[in-house]
Amino acid sequence: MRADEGQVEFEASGVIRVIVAIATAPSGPGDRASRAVVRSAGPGAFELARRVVGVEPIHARSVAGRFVIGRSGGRDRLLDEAVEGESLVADEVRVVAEEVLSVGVSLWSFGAGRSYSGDETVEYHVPGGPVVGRMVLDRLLSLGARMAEPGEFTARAFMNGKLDLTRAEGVALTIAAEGRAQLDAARSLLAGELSRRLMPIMEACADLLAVVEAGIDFSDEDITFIAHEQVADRVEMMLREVGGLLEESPRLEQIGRVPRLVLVGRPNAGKSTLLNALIGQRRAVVSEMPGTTRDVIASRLKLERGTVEVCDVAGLDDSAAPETSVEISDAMQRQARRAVAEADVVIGVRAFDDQRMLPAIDRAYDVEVVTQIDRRGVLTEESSVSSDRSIVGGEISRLEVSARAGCGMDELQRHLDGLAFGVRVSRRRAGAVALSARHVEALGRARIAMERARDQARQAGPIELQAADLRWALDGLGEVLGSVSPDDVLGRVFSRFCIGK
Amino acid sequence: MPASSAIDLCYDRCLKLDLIMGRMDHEQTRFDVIVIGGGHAGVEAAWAAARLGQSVALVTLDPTKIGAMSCNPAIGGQAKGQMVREIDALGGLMGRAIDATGIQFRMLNRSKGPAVWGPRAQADKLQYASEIQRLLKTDPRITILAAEVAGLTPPSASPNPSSDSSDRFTHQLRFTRQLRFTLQLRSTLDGHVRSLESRSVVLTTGTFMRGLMHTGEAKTIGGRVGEGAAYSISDALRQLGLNLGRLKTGTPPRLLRSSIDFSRFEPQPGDTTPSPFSFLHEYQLLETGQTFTPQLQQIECHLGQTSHQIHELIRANLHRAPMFTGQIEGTGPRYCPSIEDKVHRFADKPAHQLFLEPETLDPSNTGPGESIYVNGISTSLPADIQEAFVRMIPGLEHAVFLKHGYAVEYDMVWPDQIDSTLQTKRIPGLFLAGQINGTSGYEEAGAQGLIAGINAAQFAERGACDFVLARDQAYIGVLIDDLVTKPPTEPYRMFTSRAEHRLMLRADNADERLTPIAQKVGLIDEARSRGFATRQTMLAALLAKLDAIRLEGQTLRDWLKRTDHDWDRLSMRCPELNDPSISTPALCDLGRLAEIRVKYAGYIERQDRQVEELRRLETKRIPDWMQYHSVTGLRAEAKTKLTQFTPRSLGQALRISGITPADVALIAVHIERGRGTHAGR
Repeated sequence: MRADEGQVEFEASGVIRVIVAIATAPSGPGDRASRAVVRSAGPGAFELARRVVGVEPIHARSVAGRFVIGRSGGRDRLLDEAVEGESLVADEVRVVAEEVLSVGVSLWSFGAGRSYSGDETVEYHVPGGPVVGRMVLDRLLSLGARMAEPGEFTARAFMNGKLDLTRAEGVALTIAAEGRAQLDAARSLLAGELSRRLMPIMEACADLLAVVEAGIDFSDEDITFIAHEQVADRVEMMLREVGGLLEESPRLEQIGRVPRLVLVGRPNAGKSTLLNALIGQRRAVVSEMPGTTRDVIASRLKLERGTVEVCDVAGLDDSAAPETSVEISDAMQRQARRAVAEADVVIGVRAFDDQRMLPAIDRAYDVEVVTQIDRRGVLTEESSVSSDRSIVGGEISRLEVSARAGCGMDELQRHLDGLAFGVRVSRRRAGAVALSARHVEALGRARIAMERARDQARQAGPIELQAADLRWALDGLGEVLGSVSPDDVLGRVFSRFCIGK
Repeated sequence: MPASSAIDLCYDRCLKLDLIMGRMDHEQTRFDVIVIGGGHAGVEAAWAAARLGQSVALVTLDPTKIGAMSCNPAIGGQAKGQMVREIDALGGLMGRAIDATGIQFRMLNRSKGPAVWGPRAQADKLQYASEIQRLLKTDPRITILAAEVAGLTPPSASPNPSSDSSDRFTHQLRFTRQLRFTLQLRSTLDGHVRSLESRSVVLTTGTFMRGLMHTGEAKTIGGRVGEGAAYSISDALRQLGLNLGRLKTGTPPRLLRSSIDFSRFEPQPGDTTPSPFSFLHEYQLLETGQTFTPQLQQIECHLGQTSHQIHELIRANLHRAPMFTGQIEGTGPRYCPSIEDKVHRFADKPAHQLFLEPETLDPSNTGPGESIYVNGISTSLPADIQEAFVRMIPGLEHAVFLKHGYAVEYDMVWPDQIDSTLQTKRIPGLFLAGQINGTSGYEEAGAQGLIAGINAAQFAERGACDFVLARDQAYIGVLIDDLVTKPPTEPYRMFTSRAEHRLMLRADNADERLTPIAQKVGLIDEARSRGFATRQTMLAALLAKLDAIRLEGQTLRDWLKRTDHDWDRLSMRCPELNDPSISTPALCDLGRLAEIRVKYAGYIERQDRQVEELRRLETKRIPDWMQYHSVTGLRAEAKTKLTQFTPRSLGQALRISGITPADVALIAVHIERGRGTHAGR
């Protein structure tokens, strides 16, 4: 008997009943989706639908009905908002009896074992976008359903045996995908590409371990088991594979994250003007005064192959901007330099008439953009296109643009697209799969264990230690494929998921 | 087959005195614990239960065969040797008996690290059995009865105490009403049937349940040559609703020593410094400076080989081997194949090894004994073929057969019907141990017997039991956990590779791992407790010295960590380690222990962290109210498997073949959800 055996406590792992969430993408005020989808899953989802809609859910079919939102003395605030803000036609929300409000709904239902998550699932498709959706959600919550936690639908799918770990992560990526590179990575995970790459290594490792174990358990047999050098060689081969996978594969986090571009230049170089021109709206305040931009301003920019974030930071200069206290100036400069450190692409911005070098930063600039060329007064469409690019120091491209006149901007966008997505993707081997932090950690552990096994074998060290390391390596590989899964791995995987799938 | 072999005569001669114990006119008809079977499982079970203060009846067909070695005359080996050390650390018999009766001691895997050292010893099997019997007799709480079980009736007719809490309640009630098992025993001496009662029962039937021996086409009823089989017990178990299976094992021929020309074989001596199995000898070394010396004369074994011609002969007669003709239904072990199996499956191997192992010293103790066990050529071929191929081996041309090899088939109970305490899930108070659970080997049997005996004693005392060793605590834990999660498809034998925590489960530290646990339960006597404490204290002091003293600019501990450094070099380089109060061999023994701890420290630390991680799953017990069929989302296969195995913890559930982490996560959620509902029940 062990002392700790009496403990029967379980970590709170949530209560299964019906979990609900809005499955459609949230939209901004100006952006009107015609439908909102509220997904509910878990034992009792059908029963809940029967109660609120009064019709019988049918597996894999849409059933029309009316969703009783609630009773209220008058229309409540949310409903008013819905009607006014989303131009609902009178038929869609109406008073059924005296005070009962309802909304037209079509139910999409999936029986247990046949839905995405494997649970009984009902989707409420309601008109009018997220506000009505929220009312439906609130009503379901008031009837005892529980708000789904991030990634919980997918967690359920994994727990119901519908997905293996790598696939579950693929789904997370697909939902979050903002660009093609991300989608590709997500797709290859979904297709089990990682499993396909890893399985042979795992097989090789298991095979080798088996031979090593045999040498320990059957040493009194007249059989020659594996020699140390052979162990070392075979581990070396596995190491190459694992190492290759680790080094060639992009990180999911990198792909999953929107690349960040930062505009750096001396005060009044025209960074804010350039930013506004790039995103096509007046995001940053511009003025002739140097030092107008004090905080980091970030905006999303859609490029050909995906979305990037462009940051405009305070101008970097050795001398402080006028009318600014030293403290504020220092704080601004620190903030700007941090933005530079975290950026994926650093764009140097220089006014055409500024002969000074770009301000010194701790890393290399990826591109130099010369602005305000319209002020040279000799600009034509053709000349800007033909003369926009030259190599400086053999390393960085220089582009000449005029944000105000709009010339050179298309070329700049193409160039930024290449910096953000192109180069990095082409460097990778074809067919490479993206790895998540969990993969990298587990594979890294496997690699360290393999290195130890190899070194032990090279020195003809104790065979039982080689075996222990091979076993650890196997455990590490197994964690990626989900075949050996300590329960905290699950937690880490699923915390990355967005609500709804 | 000779009707009465030299061996059987020897048994009679040596053990005649013990027959008195088999009388059925004993007054007592009520016992706390009844153990059925006097093999390696039965004796450990009886011993452990008696140590815990219970009155025990040990029922066996033939009391003179108690502790008999049915197959090879050796104890230990890789993984098995570690298990014997564990049995000893828990206060069991096997280690003490082999130390007293070993005729050759060898440490296997000595060229590898100490984590995989496996002590092994050849035994004089007659002396071994009589030593076991002698030890049993030292405990007056054990009564030995010569009888066959004619009937077994559990306390009440209510057959299924499964998971329903109301059943558990009635079970508790039954216990408080002092209800008992009733056993009908038919004396093997006079045929009288008598009835006995007990609180709990341990069944260790070995190969005797519907035992059937095969030598070629010839079939003989019995579990061991010259002995009978137990039939009624199989029927009784079936009537209780237990699901039985059938397994097979084999044994090689025994030859007359004087008919062998040993000069044609390569001699295999034992270790020059024999290592004992029992920790008591190591404690004695520290306390008195007295080193372990075998009591019996030490002998050599001999190594030989089969040949291509022999393989041809065997191959030509495969159609007469019961296993190939389908005459045997049971499944045999892959790791210990018969010679016909080896020839068939490894057709390209030109020769197979065989070992000549003496079964006994001469009873008069003047020279090597009569019977030689030919290890490596286990066979069920017909007697004429056995004789023909054995005599083709150089040196065995004139071999005289004392016993032919044979295969034996026997009934077993599928171990998905027992839990980790070895108690049957269907019948509370009924425990199974040894080959009946599908294992093979004396050590595997003894280990189970010990655990079953402890739990049977606890059950007899308080109607419940919970003595379970974890996989990171002992090979015994690995063994039982494997049995209850993966029913064996062949006789289960322990290997070191079955233990994921192998670096911790060493022969040298079995007492450190298990003796404190056994002390808590009450298995350990005064002398062993004292010895254990002494060794732990001295070891701790030595380890402290290794940290305090420096050599070549580093602590002795770090110095010792280097692969090319060891204790012998250290003790020569560092005279401060010498302690006049400790004898040189004792210090050497301690030094070796310290060295192992230092050398493995890094790896064990890593393994420790891993164990911590896994232990979280192990401590998550699955409550009795769990009904797998009501867990939403659980796959049908998982429901079936989990209902069948009723694992005790989430960790154990995960080890059931076909159960995925996803299944376990679902169960965890289900338990969490049901906790409120079931609280207070």
